[in-house]
Amino acid sequence: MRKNLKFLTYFIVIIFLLFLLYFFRTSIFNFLVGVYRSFYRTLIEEERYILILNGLKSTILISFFSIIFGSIIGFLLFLLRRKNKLLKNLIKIMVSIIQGMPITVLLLIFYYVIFASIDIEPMIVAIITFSLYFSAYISEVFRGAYSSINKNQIISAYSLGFNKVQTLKYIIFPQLMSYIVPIFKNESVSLIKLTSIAGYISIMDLTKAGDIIRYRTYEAFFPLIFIALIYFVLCFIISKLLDLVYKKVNRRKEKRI
Amino acid sequence: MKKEVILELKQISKKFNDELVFDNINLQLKKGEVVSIIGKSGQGKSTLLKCLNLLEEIDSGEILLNGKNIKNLNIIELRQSIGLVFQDYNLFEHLNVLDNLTIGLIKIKKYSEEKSKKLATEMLKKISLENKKYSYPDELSGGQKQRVSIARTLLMKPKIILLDEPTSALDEEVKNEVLKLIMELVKEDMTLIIVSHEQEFISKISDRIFKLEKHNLLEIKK
Repeated sequence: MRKNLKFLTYFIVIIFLLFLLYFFRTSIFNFLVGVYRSFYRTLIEEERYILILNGLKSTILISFFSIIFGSIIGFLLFLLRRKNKLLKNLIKIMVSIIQGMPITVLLLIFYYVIFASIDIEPMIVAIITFSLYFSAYISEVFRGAYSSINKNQIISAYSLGFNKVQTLKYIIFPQLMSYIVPIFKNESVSLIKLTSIAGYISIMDLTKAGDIIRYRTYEAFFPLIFIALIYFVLCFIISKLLDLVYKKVNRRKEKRI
Repeated sequence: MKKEVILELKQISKKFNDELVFDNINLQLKKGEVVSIIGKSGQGKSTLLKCLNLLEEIDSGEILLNGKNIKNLNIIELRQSIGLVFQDYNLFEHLNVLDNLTIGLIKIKKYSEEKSKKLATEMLKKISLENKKYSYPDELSGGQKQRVSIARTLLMKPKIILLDEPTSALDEEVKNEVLKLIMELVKEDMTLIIVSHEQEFISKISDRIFKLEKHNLLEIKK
């Protein structure tokens, strides 16, 4: 009885949908044609997909190098900060200046003020700016991670016969990593999205490519949704990759699941 | 039978920034002997133990292990010969109990993983924590952590074990499980130096008791 009722409901719903489809057949057809045309105009016409591909290349290059250099500089800043008081204060000031400024303004300052008189590729300026920006955040992450570690473990490791390098490698580093990787993931994803302002200094990145197409086709929906999708996929891949790294460094989690 | 002297402190002194911690301390420790050191907090008892393990350096005097100055020994070997157990356990927080026990064996003693795990499991049976093999330090009680910490030191097969207030961070209830384990070490003729406030317990197990007071080590009658 109950089974029949369920079947009946499905049946009615399908009939209703078919009816709708028939009733609105022209509108649906027109809509699909519209989508196809937009798609064609946005990507195929005048080989605009090449614009998108070039934009994607710039976005990936800026993100990739900024994350790499930013992490290295961030780690150096963290180390230098512990060296002496003068350096510590200098770095503190630098970090708070960078953190207290919109990245767009920082990028413009680098391009139009600091490197104004030097003939330099905008791409390089962008990588320098984003690296510095990233390093300011990452040095703080390192600092937080290091202060979260119970230092008694170091003495304990020494007392068992570990030397400095072994203590760093087997005791400190794994704990640092399991603290750093999740935050690093968030910062990296956020940096990829921030690179969308690179167009300000005439770099053809993904967002700029979308913009150009929008100007030419007088159509906003398709180019914007399309590049949004690409950003999403890019961030998703980085995020999943770093999740894998996290699983590797956080053995504890792995065993629990 | 006269037992051989295993550790000898000869007129050792230690300063922290011109502040005297202890001065001119002499002590002879024979194999299998249990020596306790008592004294108020801040008198340098922990520092004294750390000096024996070369975690701190002495300013003058010499420490002899089997007649050899420890400064001339390989520091890694020295630290394996003289194990140190801390007041606040200091287990490695990212490793489970089993890994805490095996990491020293694998990385320092270069035992195979299989052999290390076998030794560690046997040790866990002995301290009746076999069911906590895969637990992490933050899931253990203070008493359990301290037992693991002692086990970790024991597995390195030290000749002497230094216990730095092993029960002072523990509440009454779990204290006994640690004291019981130390008692077993005494029965196995382990050479021990214990810094502790457990008057009753140490007077029961110690061969000699010293008091660190006013920078000096004084033997007191049991």
